[in-house]
Amino acid sequence: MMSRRPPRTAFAGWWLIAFGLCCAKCLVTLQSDVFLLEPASIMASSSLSLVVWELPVLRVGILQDGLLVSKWLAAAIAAALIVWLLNRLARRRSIGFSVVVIALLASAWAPEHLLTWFWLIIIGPLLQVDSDCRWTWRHLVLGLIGLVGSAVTTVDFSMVLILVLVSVSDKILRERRRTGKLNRPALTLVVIALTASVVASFSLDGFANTLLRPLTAMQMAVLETPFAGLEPVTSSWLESLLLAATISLVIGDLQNSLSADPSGRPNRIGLLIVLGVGVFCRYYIPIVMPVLLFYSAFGHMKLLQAQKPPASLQLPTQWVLRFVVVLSVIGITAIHTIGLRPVLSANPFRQRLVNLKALTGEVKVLLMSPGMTSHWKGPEAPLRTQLLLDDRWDRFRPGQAETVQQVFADFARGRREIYLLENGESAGARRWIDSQKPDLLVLSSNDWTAIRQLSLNPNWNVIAIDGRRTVFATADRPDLNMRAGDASRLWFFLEWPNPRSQVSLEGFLEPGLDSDSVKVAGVLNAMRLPYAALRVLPDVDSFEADLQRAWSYTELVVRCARQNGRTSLLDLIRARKLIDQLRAQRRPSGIVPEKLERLELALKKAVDLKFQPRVQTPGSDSSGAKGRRYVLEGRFKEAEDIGVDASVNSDARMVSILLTGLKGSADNWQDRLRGVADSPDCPVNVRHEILFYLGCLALENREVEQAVSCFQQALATPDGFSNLCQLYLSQLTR
Amino acid sequence: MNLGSQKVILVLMVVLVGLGVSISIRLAKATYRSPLKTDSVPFVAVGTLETGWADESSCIGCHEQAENFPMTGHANTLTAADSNASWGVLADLEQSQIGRAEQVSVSRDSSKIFLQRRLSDDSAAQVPLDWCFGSGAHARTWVTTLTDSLGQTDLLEFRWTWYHHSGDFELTPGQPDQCGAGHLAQFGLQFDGARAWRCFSCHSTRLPTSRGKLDFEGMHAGVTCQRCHGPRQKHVDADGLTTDPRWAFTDRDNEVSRCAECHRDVGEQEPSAVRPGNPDIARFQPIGLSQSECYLKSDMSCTTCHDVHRPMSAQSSRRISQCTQCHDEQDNQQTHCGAGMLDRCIDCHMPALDTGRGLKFVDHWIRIPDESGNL
Repeated sequence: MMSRRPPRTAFAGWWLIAFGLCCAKCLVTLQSDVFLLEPASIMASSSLSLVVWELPVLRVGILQDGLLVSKWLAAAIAAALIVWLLNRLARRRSIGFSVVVIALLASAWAPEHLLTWFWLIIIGPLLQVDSDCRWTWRHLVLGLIGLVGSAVTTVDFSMVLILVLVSVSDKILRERRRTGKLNRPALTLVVIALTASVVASFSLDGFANTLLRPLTAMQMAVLETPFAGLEPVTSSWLESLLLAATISLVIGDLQNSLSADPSGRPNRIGLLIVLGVGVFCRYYIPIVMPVLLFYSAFGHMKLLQAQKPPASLQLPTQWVLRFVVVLSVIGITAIHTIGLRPVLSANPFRQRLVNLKALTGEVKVLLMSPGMTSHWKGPEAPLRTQLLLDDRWDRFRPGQAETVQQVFADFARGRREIYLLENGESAGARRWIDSQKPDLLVLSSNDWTAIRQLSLNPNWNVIAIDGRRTVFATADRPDLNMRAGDASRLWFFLEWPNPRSQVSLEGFLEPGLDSDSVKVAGVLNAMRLPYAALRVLPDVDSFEADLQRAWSYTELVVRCARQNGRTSLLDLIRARKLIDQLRAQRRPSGIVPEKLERLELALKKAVDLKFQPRVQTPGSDSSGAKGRRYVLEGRFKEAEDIGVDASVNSDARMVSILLTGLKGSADNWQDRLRGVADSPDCPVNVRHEILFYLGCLALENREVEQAVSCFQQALATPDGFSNLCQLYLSQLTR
Repeated sequence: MNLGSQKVILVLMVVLVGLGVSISIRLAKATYRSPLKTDSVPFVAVGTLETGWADESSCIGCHEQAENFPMTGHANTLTAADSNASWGVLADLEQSQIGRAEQVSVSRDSSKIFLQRRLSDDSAAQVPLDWCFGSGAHARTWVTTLTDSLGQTDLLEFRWTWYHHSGDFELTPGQPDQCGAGHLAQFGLQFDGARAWRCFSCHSTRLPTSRGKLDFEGMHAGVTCQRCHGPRQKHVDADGLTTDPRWAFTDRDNEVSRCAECHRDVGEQEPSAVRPGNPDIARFQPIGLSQSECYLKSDMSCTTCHDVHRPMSAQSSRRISQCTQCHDEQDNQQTHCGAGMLDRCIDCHMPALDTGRGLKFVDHWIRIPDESGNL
C-alpha cells in the first residue's frame, strides 16, 4: 500500500499544537514535577501483606525515583508521542483527522500513561490487517520489544499484551485461510508471549494481579464491590458520556467497513475488547484512545478521513455524526483542560489543593479515603512521598479490601484496641496502623466523624486542610510537630483572631472555590472551631453552606453549655431558625436530613442539661423567664409575643430583640441590645449576658477590640457566662 | 453487507451506548459516595448487633453457672447512678474529706441524681449523674453522658471515686489534682465519643450504637453471659441444641485475647512500660501474665486460676492448687519453691502492687524474687 507521508515542517507544526494543548491541560501545575514511572508502593504488614508488582526498571538505581521530570517536559514528550502516532497514521491523514487525533490525545494524556503510549506506538504496525502486509521475523522482534518493554516499564502492560495476542492470532488465522500455512513468526510470538505470561504469573509476586488489571477493573465496575470507589476518578460523568458517544461513533463507523473485502475487515474481537475496557473503566480511556485511532487508521473510521464516504451513509447522517464527533472532542478537551466545575464557576485557575511541598524528608502517606492517589503525584505533594496504599485495585487480593476498610473504619472511630466482631474475630486498628507507621493520614474532608475523632487524638495533628482532604501528621516526628505547631496557630487564629499572631494560609489551608470552602468549614466545625468555620464560609446562598452555618451555631451552643453551664440564646435561636429553614427546603438526599436530626438532637441535649441548681432558677411567672423558656422549647412566636408587651422587663426585652434581630426584621438590633444593657433598670445578670452576646458577635465579625471590650465589661460583673468570657479574652489578648 | 447485519450492528450500537451511559452515571454516583464507608463495614462490633440476643434469665434453667453469675463483679460492673448500689455509697460524698474540701454535695429527685459544687461567689454549679462504673470490689466511679454537635455521645468522668479498700472517696485515677476551668471541667474530665464507646463497651454486654450515638435504652449493662458466649437467641430457641462455634475459644492465646479486650494486652502499652514490677500495668492482668515464665512454659490461661462464673470471693484462685499442677512437692521432676514454702505462693510470686490512691492489684507477672525478696 502506498504511504503518503507529510513533510517534516508539517510535523513541527503539529507538535507545537499538541504541546500547547498538552500544556493547557495542566496549566496551573506546569512548573511541578511528575513521575513517568509508577513509583514503588509498600504494603507490607505481616498480616495484610499485599502483593505488589514493582516495576523491574525501578531496580535500576538511577530510576528508583520513578523518573521524575518537569511536567512541561512530560507534556513535550506527550506531544512528540502524539505526533509520532500521527505519523504512524499518516497515510490516511487529513487535516480534520489530524486535529481530532491531537485534540483527543492531548485531552487524555497523563504522565503515567506516556510509556504505555510509547509501547503501543511501537507495536502499532502489528495491528495492520492488510492482506498484502506479510508478517516477517521483523514483526516478531517488534512484538517482543513491545511486550518486554511494557512489562518492564509500565503497570498497564496487559493492554499491550492483549493487543499483540489478538492481532497476531488474527493474522495467523487469516494467513491460514488464505495460504493454508501457519505464519511462523506470528506463531512464535504467541507462544513466547503466552508462556512468559504464565511463567511470570506463577513465579513473580504481583505479576498476575497486574496482568489482570483490566479484568479486575471491569469486574469491580460490574459487581460494585466494596472498593469500587478505589477506582481512580479524576474526571466527570460528562466526560464519560462524551467518551461513550465517541466510542459509539467508532462502532457506527465499523458497519461501513463490514461492506469491504473480508480480508481487509478489522479485527472485531480486538476492537470489542478494547472498547469494553474503555467503557467499563475510565482509567483506561487514555490508553484506549490511541488504540482506537490505530483501528481507525487501518481502515475502519472512514468518517474521519478525507476519502469518499461509503455509499450506505446518507449525507445528512454524515454531517450529524461529524458534528457530534467535533462536539465530543471539544467537550472532552475543555473538561480535561480546566475541569467541569471551574468552567461553570468561571474561575478556572484557582488552586484547590493545599500545597504540601514544604514537607521535607521522606513522607509515608496513608490515604484513608480512596480516590486520592492522583493528589499525591501532583505538584502539591511532598517531593518524597511514599504512598502506603493507593487507588490501584490490583493491590488487593480477595478479602483484603474488606479488611483494610474495617481497619480504616476502626481508626476513624477511634477504635484502636481489640474488640470482638460479630463473626467472632477481633478488630481494632492499632496493630495494623502501627505496622504501617504512617507519617501522614489523609482523610476526605467530608468525613467529619473521623476528623473529629482524630483531631482529639494527641498522637495526630491537623497540618493541612482543603476542600478534598484533611491531612493529619504524626506527633512522633519532630519536623512534622513543628509544622503542626504552625498549623495550630493558624487554626486558633481563625477561631480567635489575636492581632499579635503571625500566621499564613500558605501550605496549611486552601479555601479553593466556594464549594471547597464549604467543605473546609465542615472540617473546622468537626475540629470544634465554629468561629473559624464561619470565617471561611463563603457568602453564598446554598443549602450546604447554611448547613455548615447551622452546625457552627450548634457547636457554639454546645460549647457554651459545657463551659458556662448556660444556654447561649444567641446561638440557639440562630441554629434553630436555620435548621427550620433547611428542613423546609426538602433536600432530596438521605444524608442531609440525618445531619439535621443530629444537630437538633445536639441542641436538645444541650438545652436539657440541668446545669443550674434548682434554687437559682428564675421564677417561672416572670415574663423574662417565660420568654426564655419559650425560646429553649423552640416556641419562638410565643416568645416574640411577650416582647410586644411594653411593660416587660429587661430579660424579656433582650429575648425579644434577639428573636426579631436574628430574624432580620429589625434594624440596629445590636444597638438596641446594648441599649437594654445600658438601661439603669437592667439587672446585673442580664447585662452580663447581653455583653457576652455582643462580644461573641464582635468576635464572629472579627472586631477584636470590640469583642475584648465587651468581654471585659461582662467580667466586671461576673455571672453565668464568665468562663467563656475569660477563655475568649485569654485567646484574644495573649 | 446485507440488511440483517446492519440491524445487528445497530442493535449492538444502541446496547453499547446505553451500557456506556449507565456505567458512566453509576461511576459518577460512586464518585460522590463516601469512599470510606465508616458506617458500613464488613463486620460490626458484636455488642452493637441489634438482633440475636437472648433474655439471659433463660440461661439459669439449663446452666448452673448462671445462678451465681449475677453476684460476680463482671455482672455488676456498670449500674445506673440511681441504683441502690450506687446511691448507697454516693450519699456519703458530701461528708467525705475530699467532698468537704471541694464543696461537693449530692441531691436526688424522682428521676435523677445531681452533683452540686458550691462556687466561690456563693453560686453553685450542677450536673446530673447517669452511670456508675465499677462493681465496688475495687472502686466505683460516676459519669454523666453528653451529646456533641455531631450527635455523638461524649462522657464526663467525675473527679471523685469511692474506693473499697478505704471505704472513702478520693480522686479518680487519671484526674488532675486541680480541677479545670469551665462548668464541666470543675467536675472532671470530658472524654470524646471514641473513648466513651470504649468505656461503655467494656462495661456492658450489648451496646447498640449509631454513628457514635450510644443507645442506652438498648444497652445491657454489665458483663454477662452473652458478652463471652455471643448472642444466644438461636441457642435458646433450639433448646440448647445449637451452638455458635464462633464463640468457642480456639486456643489459650485466643482466650487471653478475649479477656484482654477489656483488661488490655501488651500491645497497648509503650514497650518501656512493659517491665516487671511496674505498678502502672498491674491493673492490666493479661499483660503481666503473657510475659510470665509460667505462661510461656505451660498451657495455662486466665481460666486456669479464675472461674469467671463465680464471684472472686467464692473462687479458689488464691490457693495453691493451680501452682502445684506444675510445681508439685511430691514430684521430684518438677521445680519447687526455692524458699521451701508449700503454700501462700502468691504472696511472693504475685504480690499486690499499689497502683495509686491505695488501690492494689495482684501483679500477674508471675516471677521469682531475688535473694533479698525483691521481684
